[in-house]
Formats: sequence, structure tokens, C-alpha cells
Amino acid sequence: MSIMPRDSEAVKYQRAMAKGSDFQPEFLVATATTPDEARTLAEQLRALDTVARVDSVSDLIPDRQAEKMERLGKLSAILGGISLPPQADPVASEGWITAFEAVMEWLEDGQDKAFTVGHKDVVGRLETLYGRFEKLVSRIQGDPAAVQRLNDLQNAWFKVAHDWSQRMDAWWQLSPVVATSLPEGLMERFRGEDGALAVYMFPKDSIYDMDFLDRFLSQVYPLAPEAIGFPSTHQVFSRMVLEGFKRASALAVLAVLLLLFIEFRSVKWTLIAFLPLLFGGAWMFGILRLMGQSLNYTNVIALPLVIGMAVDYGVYLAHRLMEHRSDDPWSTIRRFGGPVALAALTTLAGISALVMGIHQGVATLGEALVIGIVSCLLAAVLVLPCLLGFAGVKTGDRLVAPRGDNPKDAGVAA
Amino acid sequence: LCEVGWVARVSAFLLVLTLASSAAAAPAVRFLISGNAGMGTKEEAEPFVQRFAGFVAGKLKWSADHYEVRYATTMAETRKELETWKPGFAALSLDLWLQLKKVAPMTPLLQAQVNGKATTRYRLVVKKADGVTLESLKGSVLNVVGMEDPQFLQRVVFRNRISLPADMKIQATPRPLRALRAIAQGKGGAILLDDAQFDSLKELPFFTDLLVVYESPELPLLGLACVPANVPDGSHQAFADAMVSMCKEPEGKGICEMANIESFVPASMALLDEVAGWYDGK
Repeated sequence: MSIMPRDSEAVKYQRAMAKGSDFQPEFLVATATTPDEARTLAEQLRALDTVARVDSVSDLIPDRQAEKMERLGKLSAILGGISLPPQADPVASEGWITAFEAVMEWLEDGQDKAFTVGHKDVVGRLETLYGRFEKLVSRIQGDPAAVQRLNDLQNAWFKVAHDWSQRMDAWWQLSPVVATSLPEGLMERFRGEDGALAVYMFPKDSIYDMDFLDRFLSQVYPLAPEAIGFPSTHQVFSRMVLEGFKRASALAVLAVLLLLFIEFRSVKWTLIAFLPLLFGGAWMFGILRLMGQSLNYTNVIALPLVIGMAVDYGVYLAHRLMEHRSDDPWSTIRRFGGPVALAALTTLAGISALVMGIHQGVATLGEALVIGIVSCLLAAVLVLPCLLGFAGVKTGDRLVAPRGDNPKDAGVAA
Repeated sequence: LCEVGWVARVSAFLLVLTLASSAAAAPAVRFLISGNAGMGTKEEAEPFVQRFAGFVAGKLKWSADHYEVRYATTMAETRKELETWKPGFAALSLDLWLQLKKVAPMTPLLQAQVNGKATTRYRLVVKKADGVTLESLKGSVLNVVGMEDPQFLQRVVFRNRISLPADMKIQATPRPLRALRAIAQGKGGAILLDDAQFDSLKELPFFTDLLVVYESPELPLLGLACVPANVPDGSHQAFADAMVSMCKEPEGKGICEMANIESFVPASMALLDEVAGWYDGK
């Protein structure tokens, strides 16, 4: 994600999705042979603290079906015989009054019990209810339209109850849900051509955080050793790329040191020529860390490039220092540092355009290169003379002039 | 001789076996709950009774065969159980204790606390009208909830201000609200209510139509008594402690709330003896 184009809609929404839901665009898939196996695996995966969500065919199959079917059977024995008509016979006002008075009697009985032991809240609430029924009874007595409305209400209730009784009739015919009975559209996502059942697992954090990715996979693999998906390939390939470039950088350093030794035929002058790269490289890593940048697919390329480009500053200045070794290193740098800086600046002019790139990968490559070159330049023109002055290198009698040592031959690589 | 020795040994073994089995089947602790104050029928009170007994037994780590609990709905049933079943503990009201303490000598252990006090005051409630007094009610009906002992009502509640049943006709009512509605409509005599019932009355719309014509002295709310003759030494305190803890612990609190009891406190023997003196006419 850190190398994708800045402000792109896709990146923005991918981040929002990762932040606001259990879903991630990158997930792992494991397989199971039976729904029970898929359920067990899904439950184990859900218990992991690096897993945000697990999708399995077992989620579509209700659990404890045998127990539920048994309960349904018992319920069917009680409710199965109930058959309600869609409409009730109209009730006359006397019938309603008798029914409501029975309810009032029942309320009063409960109220009396609450009153006797002093549950005043219950007494108060039942009194309110009792009062409403009292009003209802007096209304029925004096208003025939009220009786009609009650009969209409009763019919509406009967209709609902009738619908429910019919719906319940369908319940009694239910059979257990099995994978084969699920609609094909649902099963497409979970069943492979060989009949294997997929279990999808979504990471809780970004898999581009390598520490998290390592933890995620180290938790998942013991449960699902054959889990596959982008996170697992990303872990392998990103490591491969980064390790490859790091190894290439190490080899480049060795090659540079060898070439420097061949050129200078002296360990001391080899090290002097290498010092700016050593210091500049260390500063580059430090500054990148302070900027919160880590090495990624693209900016890791900067490592061998910086080695190749920035070693030139040390080579050029080492030659000049060797030619004028009787002089103070600072005076040599003052005379010859300008062309070196110019060479570095022309290089920077070329690569700084990368920093402006919308593609974050290219931009981070540009940033790493700029930081690396500027660091190596500063190390060459500031640190090198300081260290040489401090160590008294200008009086070094054992120095051997390199072959063909001619200031005119020593070009400044740009 | 040899045969006699064998018979003697078998007899001795059987005797030991009998004694051991009778010891193992030690009489269960019997606990009587009197619902005279209005816990409803046996069936209605059953959940409460079982939860109550279960809590106390659990607290005392009694197995199910170590205790028995019975529920009596009336004074007559309570008397019969005390005489024949001989419970060790009884949860009963003050009037029943006074009435039956001669049937089975009982020692009050705990009083129930309601609304912060372990006593209650009885109020005689009538239809609001000018000039109505306790004396003017002579000849009318006295509705009571549970307690119908004229001696208790006359000597303890009314402190001999009226003579019962001569002055008023005592009528025990299981439907106090029906009686109250009738009184409020001017169709009934009077009704005697305790503090908790009087508090509940304030929730009803006809409260303002009623008048209190008499208030009794503060009388103890008896919670638990034991019959020392039927209780193994020392166990009465453990039983009382279990009941006291009931209203304090989460699993027992609901049981107390069902009976509208805040807590149980040790019985005040001074007050109970004074009231017993009134009852006995001393």
C-alpha cells in the first residue's frame, strides 16, 4: 500500500474498508473436506487474535440442528394441531363485557396479592391497567360502534394468527439443512471443482506490515498448513526482493572495496575513499527511519544505486588528498570540493524529479536516492577532511602513489 | 451354648444395625411457613417456599433429605401443623405467634424489617366523612387481612378501645382491594391495614376518599420463631443466621423482595414480651 499512487481512489477506499470493516482485499484460503471440518477449522481460526473474520460454508449451515429439530418436534406436538379460522364470529357487547370482567378479576387478584405484601409499585401499575379495562367496559356499554371496532380488531388479530398458524405448519415440515441443499449461487463461493470446501480468513491488520504478516501466518499455518492467498505469496516475494537487494548491495560494497584497493593498493587509502559512502549510507538509513519510511519493493533499489554513484565522491577526493598529502586536508577540499559538489548536484537534479512522482513507490525511491547522495556528499566534503586532519594523514610517508596518478585523469563521475 | 452365642451375636448385630439406621435417618429439620399474611394458595406459594427453603438449606449445606418444609395457608392449618407435625422453625406473623404460643412454645428469633423498621402500625381506614370516629363505627364490619383473632385485635391492635367481636363484625378478606373499593364507595365498613398496605393504598385513585380513624401502637413484625423442643441444640442460631444472610446476598435478595422484606434482624424480646403481656391481658 505504501508504494501505490498517492490519493488514488482505490487506495483510499481500500484503507477505509480495512479500517471500517472486518474485510480486507487480501485474504487466505484453506480447504476442508466436510462441513464439520470446515466448521471446526473456522472456529479455531476465529479464536486467533490476528484474524478479523472467517467465512466458511459452515456459517450457512445452522449448528445444533439435531437439538433444534427435537425441540421443533416437541413444539409441533403442542402447536401442530392448532388451526385458526381467518375470521372470528362477531361478539355481542355482553360477551365482551364478560371477557373483560374476567380479565379485571384476574388483575384484581394479582393486585390483591401485591397489596397484601405491600408491593406498591405493582399495585399502582395494575391499578392503571384495571382502570383502562374499567373504561373499556363502560365504553362498550354505551357505544355500539365501540363493539364493532372491537370485532374488527378481533378479526384483524385472527387474520394475523391464521397466517402464523399456516406459517407454523410449514415449520413442522422442515428438514435439516445440509451443504448439498444450499443454493448453487451460495455454494459457488465455497465449493471447489473437486468438492473441497473453502474457508476464507481475513487478517485483522495490514499485511504490508511485515511484523503483523509474520505473526498472522505463524498463527494460521499450524491450523491450516496449506492455506494460500496473497498474504502468503506476499510474505515470500517481498522477503525475496528485499533480501535480494540487500545481498546485491552487500556484494556491490565488496566489489567497490576490491576496486578501490586495486586502484589505491593501500588499505588506508581504500578506507579513506570508502569513508564518505560508509558515513553517508548510515545517515541515509537513519534519516529514512526518522521519516518513518521502511524499505519496500521500490526504494530498496536505491541501495546499490547510491553505492555506485556516491562512492565516486570519495574516490575523487581521496586522489586529490593523496596528491596533496603534504597540505592540510581542508585546503585540498576547498580547492577540489566544488567539482565534487557540482557533480552531486547534477545527479540530484536528475533524480529529484522522482520525488514529485504521484506513484508513492517511485517517490520513495527518489527520496532515498536524494537523501543517500546528499548524505554521501556531505560526508565527503565535511567528515572526510575532519577525520583526516584529526588522524594526521597528511604526513603519511608509507603511502604509495597509485599507478598513473594524474590529477587530470581523475574525473568526477556524475 | 454355641448356638445361643450365635443367636446373641446376630441379635446384637441387628440391634446395632437398627440403632445405626435410626441414627442415619435422623429426623429432618422441619420448617413451617405460615401464609396467613397473604402469600396465596399452596400452589401459588410453592415457588417462593421452595426457593426460600433451598436457599437456607444451601447456606447450611443440608442435603434434600435433611430438611422438610411445609406451607400453611390459615391459622387452623398452622395450629394443626404445630400440634401434629411439630416443626422446629416457623415463619409466622405476630398474631399467630401470640395465639399459638401455648400450643407450641415458640421463641421468636428474628423480626422482619420493612421500610427501615422492624415494626408496623395498623391503621383503621374508613370512608371519609364528617364526624366519623372509632366509636361511631360500632356495629359495622371490620375487614381484616389475615389476622382474625378478636383477642389480638381488641387487646393488641385496638388496645381495648373497642370490644371485639361485640362492637364490630370481624370479616377476614382475601380481597382487600375489593373491600377498599366498596368502602371508598360508601358500601362497606372499615378495613385494618399495616404500614406496607397503607403505603400501597397511596398509589390508588380512591385514597383521597378514605380516612384513617385509628392508629395502633408500633407492633413487632415477627419473622422467625423456633420451637426449642423440636430443634437440636445450637442449630437455631445457624438457621437464623442463614435467614439473615438471605436478604443480603444476591441469590437470596429476590426471595426477600418477593415477600417485600428488606432484611431480618434479631427479635426484640422486650417489645415482644410487652405485646405478649397485652395479649394475655396482663
